[in-house]
Amino acid sequence: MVVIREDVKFIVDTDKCCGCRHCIRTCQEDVWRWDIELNCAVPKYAEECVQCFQCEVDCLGHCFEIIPQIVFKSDPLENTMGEA
Amino acid sequence: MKNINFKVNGVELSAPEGSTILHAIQLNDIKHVEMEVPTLHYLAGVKEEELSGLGFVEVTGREGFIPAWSEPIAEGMDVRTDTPALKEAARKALSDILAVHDHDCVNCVRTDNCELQHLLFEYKVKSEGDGLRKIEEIDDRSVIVRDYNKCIRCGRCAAVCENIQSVGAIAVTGEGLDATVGPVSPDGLAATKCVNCGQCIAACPVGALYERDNTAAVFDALEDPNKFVIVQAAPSVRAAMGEIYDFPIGVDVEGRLAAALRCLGFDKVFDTVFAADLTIMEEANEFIERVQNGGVLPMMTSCCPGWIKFCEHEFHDLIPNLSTCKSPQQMFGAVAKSYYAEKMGINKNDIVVVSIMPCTAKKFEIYRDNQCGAGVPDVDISITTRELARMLRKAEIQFEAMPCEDFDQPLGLGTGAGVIFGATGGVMEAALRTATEKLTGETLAKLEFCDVRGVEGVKEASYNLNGTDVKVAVVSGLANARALMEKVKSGEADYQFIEVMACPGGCVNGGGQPIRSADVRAKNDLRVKRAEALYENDLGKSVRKSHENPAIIELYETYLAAPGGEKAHKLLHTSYIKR
Amino acid sequence: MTDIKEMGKMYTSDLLIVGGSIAGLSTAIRAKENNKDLDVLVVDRGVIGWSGQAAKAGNGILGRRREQSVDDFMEFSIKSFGEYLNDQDYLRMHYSNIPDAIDTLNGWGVNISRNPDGSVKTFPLENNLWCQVGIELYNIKSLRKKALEVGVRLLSCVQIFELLTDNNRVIGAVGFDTDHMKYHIFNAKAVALATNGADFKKMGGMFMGYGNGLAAAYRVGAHMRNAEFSTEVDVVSKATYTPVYGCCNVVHNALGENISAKYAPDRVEVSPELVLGMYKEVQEGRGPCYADLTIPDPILMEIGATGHDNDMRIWPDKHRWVEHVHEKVANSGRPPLGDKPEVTVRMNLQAECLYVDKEQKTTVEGLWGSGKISGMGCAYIGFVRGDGLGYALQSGIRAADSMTEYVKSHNLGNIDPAQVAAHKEKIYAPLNRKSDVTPGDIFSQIEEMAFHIDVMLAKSDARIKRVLAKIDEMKQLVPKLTADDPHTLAKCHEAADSLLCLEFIFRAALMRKESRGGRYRHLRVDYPQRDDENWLNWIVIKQGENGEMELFTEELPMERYKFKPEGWKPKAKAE
Repeated sequence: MVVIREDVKFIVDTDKCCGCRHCIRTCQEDVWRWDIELNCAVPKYAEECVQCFQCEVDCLGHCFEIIPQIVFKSDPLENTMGEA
Repeated sequence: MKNINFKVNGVELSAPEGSTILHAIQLNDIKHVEMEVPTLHYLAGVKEEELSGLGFVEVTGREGFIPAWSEPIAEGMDVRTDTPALKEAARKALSDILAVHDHDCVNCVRTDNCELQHLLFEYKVKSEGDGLRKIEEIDDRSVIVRDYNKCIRCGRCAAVCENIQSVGAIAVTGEGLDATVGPVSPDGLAATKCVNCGQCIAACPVGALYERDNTAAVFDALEDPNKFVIVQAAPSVRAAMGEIYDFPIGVDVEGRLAAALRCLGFDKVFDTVFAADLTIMEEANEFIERVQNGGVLPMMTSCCPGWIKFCEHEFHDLIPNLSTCKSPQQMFGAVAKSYYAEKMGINKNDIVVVSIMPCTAKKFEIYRDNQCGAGVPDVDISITTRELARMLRKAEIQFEAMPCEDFDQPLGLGTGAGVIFGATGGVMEAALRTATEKLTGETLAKLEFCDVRGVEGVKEASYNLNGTDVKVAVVSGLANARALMEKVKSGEADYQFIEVMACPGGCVNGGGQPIRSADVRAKNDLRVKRAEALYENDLGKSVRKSHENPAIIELYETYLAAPGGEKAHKLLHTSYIKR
Repeated sequence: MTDIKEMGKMYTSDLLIVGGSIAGLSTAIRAKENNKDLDVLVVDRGVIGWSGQAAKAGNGILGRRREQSVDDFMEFSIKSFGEYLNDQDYLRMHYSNIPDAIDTLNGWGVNISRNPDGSVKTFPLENNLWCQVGIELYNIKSLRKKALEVGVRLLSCVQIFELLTDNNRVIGAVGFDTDHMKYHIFNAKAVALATNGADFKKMGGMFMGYGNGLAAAYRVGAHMRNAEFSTEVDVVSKATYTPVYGCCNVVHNALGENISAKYAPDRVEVSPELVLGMYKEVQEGRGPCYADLTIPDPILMEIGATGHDNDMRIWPDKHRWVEHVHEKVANSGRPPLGDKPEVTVRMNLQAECLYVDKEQKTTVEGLWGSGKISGMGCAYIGFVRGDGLGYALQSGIRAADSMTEYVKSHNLGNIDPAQVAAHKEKIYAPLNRKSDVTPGDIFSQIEEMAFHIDVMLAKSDARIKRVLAKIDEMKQLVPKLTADDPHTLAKCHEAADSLLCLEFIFRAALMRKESRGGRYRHLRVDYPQRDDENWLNWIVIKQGENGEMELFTEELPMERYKFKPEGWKPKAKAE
């Protein structure tokens, strides 16, 4: 399963999910949910990911990979609202 | 004992002289993952060798890998557990094991509590492809289910069965990963002398052994509007259930347990402790009668179905010595379907009695002959502590969020004497509290019989009960029991009363309890810590003697008449067979 | 009227603690230790033991060796961080109690750095004034264990959105569970909010508070204080967006000029001056900036480390995580950090403004605040790195002591079914709406609007007013928000509450016509100087009778305080 969002891409090997649910409990942003039909955890709200990678570190089965797409959208040093 | 100073990965530690390197490191309870020595076969006290290719360390100044499980620690030894060579060797060994292991982890009862899974995680070994999938049939002909596809041939189950329990129902044939580990009979465990104690399950590092799951039957009963579903929870469950939810070992969760069972939807939430008190009434009475009327001595307790089956297989001559009292589980069911049913005006056929037990042998016990006191099976479904946790998870009940609640009345009222049944020596102590007071007619000044407490395999003590010296013995672990019974048979031992529990340490360490890894077991004596929870619970109870339990008193006054009486005999006593 | 029990799942307890990270668990454990018979319930939207900011924060907690002078701590903190706006009574209490609090934490079974004799081991920091104590990354997991041991009830995966009141006393809360959206109603004798405040800025491992606690407290009449001190800045690697710790003295521009030395010499922390300097350099075409990590850092040399390899204090669990993040960077096609990583700034706006007193009591009866939600509202304003955990711990302990005392003489309040029903209707309203407005729209508008140096850091009257106008515009979207699952429903309320918190920040910022503060500096380009004559006041926000936001000032009792600004003399009230 591949989930692509603007900021981040999740590649999940759903067959290897071991059901430990570490990803679900460790995520602060509610990215992961248990999918009853697929019988595995899925990044249902991938757009909320803040890229802490803790779920990836904690996953007992090493069964997914998070690939950052954009680290930050714009460099605050380069942008300005443009007026005083 | 002298302490030896040594270093692990540069960190200075110390351990008692004579410890192996592995044990010395475990004793230091290192939090740093890198210092742990990975093992899968080694289980302290059960199987102290490691043949998986893991378990090695390097020692500065010595060549090659050193087996940490056998090499004693020496002064100034500079041990490394984290060298690239060791890590590579561990990864290789783990990959080999993984190749013969069905990693259908998502459906496995041991996921997240699997020693292999955790090592694969630590060493970042990933499974390639689909891995092994269901080559062999799962053997579920016994209450102990064996999944050969998961077996990693560690041999812990065979070791515990042979060395600790002296049952020898499981054997290893062949070597290494080509070996077969399984029942000695081709017809499965049920065809062996297996006593269903479940210690093999507790020893298994992976999900190759587990109890027959009866949770679906419980859910069915709960959903059936025509059934009145009663649950009883054994004393030991409250001493260990918390561990599944990260409670420290030895925290008593009695109140939360009662609340959780109520949340599951049981119509009444009762306590096996009540039945334990009842057992004491019957058993103490039986003992006094045997002593006074020249009955068969020594009398032996009959609470433990593992021990009963063991005795039936191995010591036919001693069957008359077994107390005829049913176990508390069965007594509870018999009373629930007679006294309670009549009292409440419920048809006994509509009552479903579910028991939560620290035990796998209890699943076998409910189907034994002569366990239908009220004409219907005393207990309908018996599930383990682990199965209860599975049920709660399925029902999305958070055990951690439970408030402290009380059991329902009247079958939920138990005394401290009943609570300590879960620890080895507890039945003896509870019986002594009652027997002493009954025989002497005086109130005991001190309720604690400390000589029969503790986790030693065999304990003995002598008490003067109203002028008669009574010599008692308490034994746990079936190998210990076998040795003691040989002495009884030969006449070498002259006890009057013997308590036997199949599992080392008693029910707190039962085969149905939460499974802890070899590492946790090496660092903590589960038997001691869980028993402490029960002794503390006993101290907190306002009534601590079975014969003073008001609910028991009422039961006898209004229904049973007297201990050992006709009605009591019909409901609460059973018989045994030669196997 | 419908029976309350039919509206949702009902819980009662003596204490209700909302939030199960370090602040909430400390409150709960301490309360149970004070009185083991108390029924203490902790509720969290995540899984307690792994949720909350502290679950990702380990490695260091601010310490003080007993022989170190509290006055020295205070003086440094007041001069460098609070610039005399600190509540000095609070500050003294907080710093005095640090060693005891850390001993308590040690006793609770959290793995912290220990000497061989079991006592707490400290590591000196910054010219030997501060010191740090090592703490495991999984500190919350250890606290969970302790909480369970002492009999605390932990309810995971339930998010709280509103507080229940009975005659202006808080007596409970309502929310729903994140799996099935079932309505949960809580009744308690005393309630503590340990929810974190509101943060604005996602990504780079930052964890978001969404202001639910603050907004709920505000709606029942709790006051807010010091909302304008809100901007935290970090210099971060452009590649990973993670902080480059200790680089504040070695930032260079593209020409190789040390701009740390140019704009912010002698600063021990990343300062707004440095950030504005970097901004100026980049705007004037001398970017990008980089950190020259080959230069030995004087602060790190002080503690015996060389170069920037200060991993010596990193614990294995945290190290594993940090290493992983670095590995990700290498794998995602970007170069590893190296010696001279390009750097930019990361700004985080945070509202932590729940007004609490020395006992962590809010201005509403029956309601306490512990942890970051009251980080600025307690007016200690002395946050140095590593004291977030310490503040949470101590405030939890204080709140517990006060709450235990309170419940001795108070019973459960009466729940008003009409109130419970009204909250239920409001909370579930987005499920029944038809529109195309999603909470994501509000969050992206906030992000677009706020994350500019000249909005977050270099504020001016005109800029703030423009932001407030934009907030008003966004508030129009709130009644149109829609959701169809628990996650999005929660987000709807998070978006609305975040907006409210953003308004706290900018209304207070508009009012404070001066510049003041250290790490959470309030910087007004139109009032660049500190104005001790008029602004030794706290700005307090409350909800007015008609629901409008009311701001007023509260004068600091400076005459009582030991540390006074240079030239300060008692005088008539400001404004």
